[in-house]
Formats: sequence, C-alpha cells, structure tokens
Amino acid sequence: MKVLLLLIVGMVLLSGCDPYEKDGIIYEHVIDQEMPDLPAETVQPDDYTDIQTAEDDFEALDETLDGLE
Amino acid sequence: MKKFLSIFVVLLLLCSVSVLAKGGSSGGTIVKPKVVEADPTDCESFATVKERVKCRLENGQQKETTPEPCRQLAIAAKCVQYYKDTITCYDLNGKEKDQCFKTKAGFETKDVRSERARGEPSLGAIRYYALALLYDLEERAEDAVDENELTADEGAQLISEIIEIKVKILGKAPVSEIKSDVAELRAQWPSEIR
Repeated sequence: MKVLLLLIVGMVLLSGCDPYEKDGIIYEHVIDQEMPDLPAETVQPDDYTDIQTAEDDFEALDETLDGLE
Repeated sequence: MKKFLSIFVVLLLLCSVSVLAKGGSSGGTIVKPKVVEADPTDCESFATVKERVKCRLENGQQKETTPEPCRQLAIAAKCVQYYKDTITCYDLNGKEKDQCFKTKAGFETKDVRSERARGEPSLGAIRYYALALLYDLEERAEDAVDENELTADEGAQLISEIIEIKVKILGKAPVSEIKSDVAELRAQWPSEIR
C-alpha cells in the first residue's frame, strides 16, 4: 500500500518536470512556466447547449427540428 | 487497508441510496412517491392522456408503466429503455444535461448540425434528443404544479400537449407539423415557468 502511494506521488511529481512537446514547442519545467495561449484554431468550441431554462429547451428544440428536415 | 475498505463501502452505500428515481406524470419508471390514501386512484383506468396525467400529478405514480408516447409505438421497448436511460440526466444542469441527453440518444457529435451531417443513421438519435428536451419541459411543468404555480389541470393540459408532440416525433410526422405544434406550445408557455 505504502509502495503504491509512493509510486503515485512520484509519478505526479515527475510528470510536472518532464519536457513535452505541443504544437511544435518543447515545454520544460511546466510548473515554473506560464502556459502560453493556444493558437485560436486549435481551441475546440464547446458545442453543447447550456440548458438552464424552458426558453433554452425551446431554442434547442427548434434547432433539433431543423436537423430533422 | 481495512479502514480504506470500510470507507469505500460506506461511500458506495451512500451513493447507491442517493440515486433518486425520477417521477413522471407521463408514465414510465419512477418513483418519487407522494403520500397517498390507502386506496389510491388507478390513473391507468382513465381513458384520455390528459386525465391520466392529471391523476398522476395529483396522486403521484403508483407503479411502473409504459411512458405515454411509447404506447403509440408497435415496438415500445427501445422507447421505454430511452426513458429509463435518461432519468439521471434530469438531475443535471446546463451543458452537462445537454451532453447527457445527447449521449443517451446516441449522438456521436456534440451538436445537431454535425450529427445531421452523419446522414440518415443520425435521425433516430436526433428524434430521441428532441424527446429528452420535451421531457425536460414536462419536468418544469410538473415542478410548477408541485410549487402551486400551476393547477393540476393547467399542468395536465401542457403535459398532454407535450406528449402529443412526442408521439408525432416518434411517429415521424411531417417536421413542419411538429414545428407548428412546438411554436403553439411555446406561445402558451406560462412566463412564470422557467
């Protein structure tokens, strides 16, 4: 159990220090660096509908019925 | 180790009892039972959808029944299963709720337009998603009755109209007809029910 715990803690700590590459840029010591903003084209839009009210249900329903046509 | 195990078991038990089945005036799996008299009314004995819905609003649902819209189908099993599958979604909110509806409906994408682009096989998923949205409206009407913002009769009227739309969606009625019904429902939707 203790060994397992130590292993997990060790992996978490090590993962912060490992250099890695993203979008052609090699990041080292990520913990100490401020992450730059990702280029706009790589940002994935969150397309789920924010359903809070009946109005939201109706809006989503209209869009859905358009999809059935 | 034993401590961890016992904490895990306790958490598991707590989680399992906190899953509340969803009550529904349009039938289906349930039940947040209401306190009723010893001899409760059998809502299934009423002839019309509106009467059955009103009965369930007033007395709660006493037993598991086939959801009203599924009753119109030759093979109701898939429809009934979808009602059961989506029960947990109604406790969610915002984008999580939408994601849950879409996942349970069988969406492979995040939005209707992308889903439609997958072609004919996506139509079933889109129909089921529409049912979930309508059920969400139904839930709002039920809550309004519970909170005395609507009478049982007003609630039953709205819900039976929603059920009618669901039946048309499942029956693959012309979309123009369904749209017109939804527009009518939206126009009469009470502003106090949000």
